[in-house]
Amino acid sequence: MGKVILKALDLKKEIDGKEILQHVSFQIEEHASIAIRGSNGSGKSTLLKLLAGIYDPTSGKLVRNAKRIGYVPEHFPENLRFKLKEYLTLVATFQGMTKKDIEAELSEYIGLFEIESFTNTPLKKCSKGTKQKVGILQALLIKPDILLLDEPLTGLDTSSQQNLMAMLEKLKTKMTIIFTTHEDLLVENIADQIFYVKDGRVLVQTENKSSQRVIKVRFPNKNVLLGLEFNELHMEEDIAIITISRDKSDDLLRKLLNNNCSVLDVRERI
Amino acid sequence: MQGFIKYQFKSYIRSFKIIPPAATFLIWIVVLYHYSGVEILSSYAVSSIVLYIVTTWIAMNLFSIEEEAEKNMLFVQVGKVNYLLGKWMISFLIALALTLFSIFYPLLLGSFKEAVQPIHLGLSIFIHLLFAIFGILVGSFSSITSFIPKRYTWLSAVLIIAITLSYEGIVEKLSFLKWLLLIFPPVVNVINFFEPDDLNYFGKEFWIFSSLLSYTQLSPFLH
Repeated sequence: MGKVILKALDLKKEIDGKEILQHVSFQIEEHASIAIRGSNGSGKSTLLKLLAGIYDPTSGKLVRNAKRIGYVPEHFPENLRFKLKEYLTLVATFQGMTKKDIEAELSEYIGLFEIESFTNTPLKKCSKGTKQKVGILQALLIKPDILLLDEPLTGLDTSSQQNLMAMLEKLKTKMTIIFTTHEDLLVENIADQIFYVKDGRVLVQTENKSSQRVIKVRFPNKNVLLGLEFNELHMEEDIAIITISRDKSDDLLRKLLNNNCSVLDVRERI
Repeated sequence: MQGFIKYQFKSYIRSFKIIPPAATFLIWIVVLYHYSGVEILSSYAVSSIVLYIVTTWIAMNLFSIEEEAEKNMLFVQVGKVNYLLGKWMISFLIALALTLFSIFYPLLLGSFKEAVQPIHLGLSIFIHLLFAIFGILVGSFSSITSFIPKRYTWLSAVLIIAITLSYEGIVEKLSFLKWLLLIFPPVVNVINFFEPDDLNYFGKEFWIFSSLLSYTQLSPFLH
């Protein structure tokens, strides 16, 4: 068992007299990757803000064994009065980084996020996606022990989403990552554990890997699907969405391809 | 902290929100010293009252320049305590610049009826900086206390300023409020020493009062 980096003991959070979270207890180990899931308004962001130290718990205890925490809000502020590079440089100075280190770090991250052409652009004039990248960058720049991300894929184009996921996968080994999300793909690729927030309570699921896969195929005629083994089947014109257990999915895919079906998508069922 | 102060200062200047309070103060000083031959201490007392109001305005501006997401990021980046200290420091630095203007402008113009002695300068710096701290405290209190709804923050600041400036009148009419009103900055009590424009009024009582006041104002920064 690794070092516990975050420990919550019977946390409760009320906002304007309304109970948002109650009886929340868990512990998170160093270098764990946690997805916080739940429906809109369930308290996911509140939980993340509690972990970040933005909110203080109404009662209960939260122990943070981390020197630095990076926080990425769901929506990057719209009215920052700085140019992109100027903002990141200023944020880096908060942590006492030297000018030389800041330059080196910045040029690496700016290249990685492909925002070189916007370094001297006022943040107000940057696109939503660029702002979102800056939001992630400001958190990474300080080399956090814990990285907290609120809906990190919001506002990013597909290529930036892929880049971010690849980066988070790399970062997994270096820091603890906790994020809220509705995206199955992010959970599947990054998370080791899932925290479900429902009715103000947090349910911890330690095993993330799903036991089922969803396969989307285009079929030449319905007959090719007859005699195949699966758990669920939905058809719409010439498209079939098949749910099957993970261990039998490869076999089914092989049969579908042999029967001239086109595989359009395969994903884990979360 | 230096980086955060730089960040705050740039953000505040670029928001142009500094213009109304700073312009109000500068115009007031220019008008105050339009006539020459004015009294030293009572003039400085008037400019420090204006500084008190303007610093409250500036502190409230500073606490409201960020939207929620920016504030959340700053809380995490610098910590809540440093965030508050940073706001206070930048308010104080701006108030210091305004103080220097209000002290040296009449000296350059030769507006006073008599020669200014070092004790006058010392007392004027003291009262301006003390009232700047009062202003910062009133502005911060109105902006960050959770029990004042956001839409009433300006109203509460105006109310506190009105109470502190009319303290004597309120106590005269409603003497039972005397002790309750002690929680507000003792603006009038300090002004009363300056109004007669006579250095003889600054006896033992003033220095004991000032020492106690300075300690209570500065203690949050020292601990």
